[in-house]
Amino acid sequence: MLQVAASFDLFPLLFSRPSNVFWPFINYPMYRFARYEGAVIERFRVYGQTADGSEVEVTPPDLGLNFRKFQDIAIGALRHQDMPLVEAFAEIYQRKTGTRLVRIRLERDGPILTRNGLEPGKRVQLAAVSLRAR
Amino acid sequence: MIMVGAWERYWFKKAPLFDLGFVRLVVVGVELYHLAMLRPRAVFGQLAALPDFLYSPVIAMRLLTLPLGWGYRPSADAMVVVYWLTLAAGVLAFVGYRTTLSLIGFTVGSLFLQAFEYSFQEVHHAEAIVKIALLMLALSPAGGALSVDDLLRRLRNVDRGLRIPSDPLSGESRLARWPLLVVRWVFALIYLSAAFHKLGASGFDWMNGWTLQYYVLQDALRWGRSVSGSGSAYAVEPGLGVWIGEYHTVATVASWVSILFESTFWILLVVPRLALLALPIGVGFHVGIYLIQRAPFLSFVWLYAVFVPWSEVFRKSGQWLARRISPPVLRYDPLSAPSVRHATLVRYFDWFGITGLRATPPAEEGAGANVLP
Repeated sequence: MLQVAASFDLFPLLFSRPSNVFWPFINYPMYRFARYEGAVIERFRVYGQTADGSEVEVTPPDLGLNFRKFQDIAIGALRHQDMPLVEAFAEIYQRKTGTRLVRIRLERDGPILTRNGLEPGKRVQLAAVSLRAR
Repeated sequence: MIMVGAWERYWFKKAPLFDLGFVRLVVVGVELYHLAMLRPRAVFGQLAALPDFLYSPVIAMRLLTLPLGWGYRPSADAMVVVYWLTLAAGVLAFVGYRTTLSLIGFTVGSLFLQAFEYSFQEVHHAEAIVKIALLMLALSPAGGALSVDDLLRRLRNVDRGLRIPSDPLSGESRLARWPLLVVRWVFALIYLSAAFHKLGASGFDWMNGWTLQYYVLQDALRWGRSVSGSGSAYAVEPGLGVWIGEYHTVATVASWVSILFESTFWILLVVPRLALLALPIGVGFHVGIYLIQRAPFLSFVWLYAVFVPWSEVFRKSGQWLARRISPPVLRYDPLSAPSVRHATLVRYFDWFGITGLRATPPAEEGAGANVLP
């Protein structure tokens, strides 16, 4: 019964909690969204501006995260402008590297899926946030 | 009443304990291998170093640590201790010593370790069914065959007067079928869930070819030749998927095959004979995903063991072998308890049943060179 509820997304309906919380009884929604010709195979990059104006790329190890956590949590926070979370990550960055960031921006690039194979895509800035001085 | 009877017969029909015991070896073996490959200090040290705001325990973690508080967060040292205890319980569960107890210990330990890892807002799917299978085995007579417990029980029977070395494939129980059936149903539900989400979110567009091309290329570019989730992403060397992902027609056909496979796998539970068709497709499906997208769902392939009637496979293979080789003959003296014990021990490891048994008192056989003492 638990796996039936998990498989068909009944847990969020019954308990108002995401399915993942009920692991190992979980749903399997991976790769569910259709994509079409011209889709950008997204790759996100995070850049931080330091107090002296220079820019550095922020990578998962800089925050002590693996790629998944970096992509889902840190980049997710930037995309949704979740400032408390972004500031918390900036603090971790400062603790780990000794560099204080004053501004963070998120860029997306990646190749485009076409009939003739992959073609280079453009860089797009998705978000930019200024951080409070600490 | 008819429905109740049918329900009882379905779940609790007598089934060979050997099948359950063999699945125990596979599931515990796979999980033990997975655990043994970990470097506990590094893995749990990294997790323990993550900030508190990332810690959001899954329900399993909350329940397992309930006596210590609802949001209790164990230290790296505690996790390393649990790791070694789990590994020890796993070895016992594998060999089948105090099987129920060691399986419970191994299952709880494995759940705890994995639940801790997944309590930092990152949950993966490949391990879930292994944990569910372990849970089912822990609640079943999984030590009823292919275990030290079973061997000791058979030897005790000899001491009580049994004078025939028992067949390791013999032994049935009304409780030997349901755990395997539950895991089979979980398989069906997992595949149905995958198809349900794809078709629910995208309809038939999911099979347009572009979708699969996109995900194959995304994973191949992201993970390169590393297994998904391991190593640093965007490796210099892209994976095999970059080449495969160029072929739109291949992707379209593969999309249809995937959806058909996922949405119809449950039929296997109604028509078990379809296993001969469905399981090889499933093996190809998961091995293909592993090679092309580097998604490590190989535990699914191992767990297909629950669909195989192992006692029948070994018995038939043994009959086939016996026709082609000259089968060894195991002579024993039925009047001697030590001889029957030794013969029982030797026969216990003859899963193919190719050893011929011959009760031969040494006096009648003369030299008795082949007679077990």
